Amino acid sequence: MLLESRSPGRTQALGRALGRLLRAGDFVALAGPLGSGKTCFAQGVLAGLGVPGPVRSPTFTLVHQHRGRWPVYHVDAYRLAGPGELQDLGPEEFFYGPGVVVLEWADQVAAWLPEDHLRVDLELPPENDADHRFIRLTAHGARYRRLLRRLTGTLDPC
Amino acid sequence: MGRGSRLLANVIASQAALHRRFGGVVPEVASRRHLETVLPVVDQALSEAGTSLAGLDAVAVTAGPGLVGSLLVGVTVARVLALALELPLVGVNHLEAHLYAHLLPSEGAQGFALPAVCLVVSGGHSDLIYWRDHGDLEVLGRTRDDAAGEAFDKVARLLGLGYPGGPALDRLARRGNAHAVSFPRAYLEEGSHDFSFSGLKTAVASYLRRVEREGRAVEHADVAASFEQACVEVLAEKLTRAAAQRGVRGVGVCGGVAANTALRREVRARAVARGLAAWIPDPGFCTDNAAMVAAAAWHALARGTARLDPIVDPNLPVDGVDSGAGGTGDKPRNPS
Repeated sequence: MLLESRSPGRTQALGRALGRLLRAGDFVALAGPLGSGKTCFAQGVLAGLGVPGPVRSPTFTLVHQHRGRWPVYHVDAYRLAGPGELQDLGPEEFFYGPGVVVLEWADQVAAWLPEDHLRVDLELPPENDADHRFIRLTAHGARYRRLLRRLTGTLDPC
Repeated sequence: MGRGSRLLANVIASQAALHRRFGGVVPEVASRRHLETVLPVVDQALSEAGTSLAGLDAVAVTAGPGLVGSLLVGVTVARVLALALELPLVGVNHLEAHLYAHLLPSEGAQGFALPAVCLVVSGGHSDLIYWRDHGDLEVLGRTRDDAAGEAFDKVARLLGLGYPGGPALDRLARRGNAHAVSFPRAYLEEGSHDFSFSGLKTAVASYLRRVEREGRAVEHADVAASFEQACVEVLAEKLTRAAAQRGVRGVGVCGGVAANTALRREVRARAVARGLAAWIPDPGFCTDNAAMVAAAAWHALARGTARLDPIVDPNLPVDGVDSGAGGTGDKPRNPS
C-alpha cells in the first residue's frame, strides 16, 4: 500500500489513522533515511493509540514506555550496532509482551524482527519539494493484511 | 563526595580500562556489562578517595528516568551495599543530578547561586528548568521531538562524521561560516519555553540533498557551523529569556551538549546582554558522572528531603509532575 504526504501534518494524520486500528501484540517497524519522517509518523501512530503527547524521539533514550489504550513501546534502533546490543535491552519483554511496539530504524535490527509485522518505509522522492514523502506499508502476515484492508477503508483523500 | 562540595573521587566506567575490553557503541544499554563493571568502579572510587566502604555515610544511586535494565542494576547493587553497611540509600533523579554539576568544584560554575534557570541539554534531553531551591524544581520547557544532542549527532552523520558526532561537529564548525546557510530557528508559539529540533535536522538533510542534486560543492564546515548556530541561538535565547522573566541572577547549562563551544559562547553572550551570570560547569561534570549524583544526594540528606529506599522508575519526573518524559509508562517496579 502506497500513501503520499506533502506535509509533516499529513504524515502524522496517516500515522494516527493506522494507530487507531492497532491492538495489543501489534508490531510496526519503521524504516527510511534520516529526516524522512519516521518519528513524525510514529507520533501520529501513538496519538492514534491514545498516548498523550508530546511524543519525543527515543533515539538516545532507546525505549520509551507509554500508556495508551495498551502499553506502547516506542523503540529506536538508530544507535544500536546490531542485534547483540538489542538483546542487552531485554527485548523479549516488549517485543513479545502485551503491548504495541513501534520500532524506528528497524533495518538496524532486521534479524530480530518478529516474522509477522507491519513494515512502514518512508521514502523521499528524488526530485521534489522538501516536505514530499511516499509512505509504503507492507504487511507481513495475515493479521497485517487484514489491517491494511481496514486502513484503506478509513483514509480520507488528501 | 565528602562534606558537600568536596569531591574525593569520580570514576566513570566508560573511561576505565576494564570497560574497553567490552567495546560497544551504546554502553548504557548493556545491563549485563553494568553488572560486570559496577563493583570494580566502586572499588576504584574508594581507593582514589583514600577510603573504604567503612568510611561511607550514605549510598546514592540514580532511580530514573532511564532504561529499566541499567537502573535495576544500579539500584540493586546500591541497595545491597546500603543494607550490608547499614547506611541510608538515597535515590536521585537523573536530570536533577545533572543540575548538581553546577555545585561541583569547577571553574565554569564558580559563584553559582539559587534560584537559577538551567538548561539540561544532551542526546536525550533539552529541558529548561527553573531551579528555585534544593528539591524545588519547575520544568518550564522541553523538546517536543528530538533533543538538541540528537540533532547534533544526526547532522554529524549526514556530514559523514563518526560517532559520537557532537564533538566532531563542534571541531568542524569552528572552521566554518555560521551565516553561510540560513537554517530555520524553531521558536514555536509566542512565549513558549519548549524546543523542537526535528525540523532543523530535516532542513539540513534537505539542503544537502538539494545541493547534491544541483551538482554544487558542499562546504561541510559551513553547513556544520550554520546548523550549530541555528541550534544554539534558540537554546541560548530561550534560556536567558526565561531567566530574565523569572528575575533570577543567572543561568546554568549542563548535560553533554554543554561541552559545545558555540553553545557556551552563545549562552555567555546572551547572558551578558541581559545582565545575567552564566554558569557552565567544566565539561567532565556536564556529561553523565557519579559526582553529580553524590552531590544531589548530599544536599537532599542535609535538608532532610532525601528520597530514601527508592524504587526504579524509568519515567521518573524531575518536578513531581509527570509531563510525559517517555510517556506515562508502567509504574515502578522493585528490584527483587
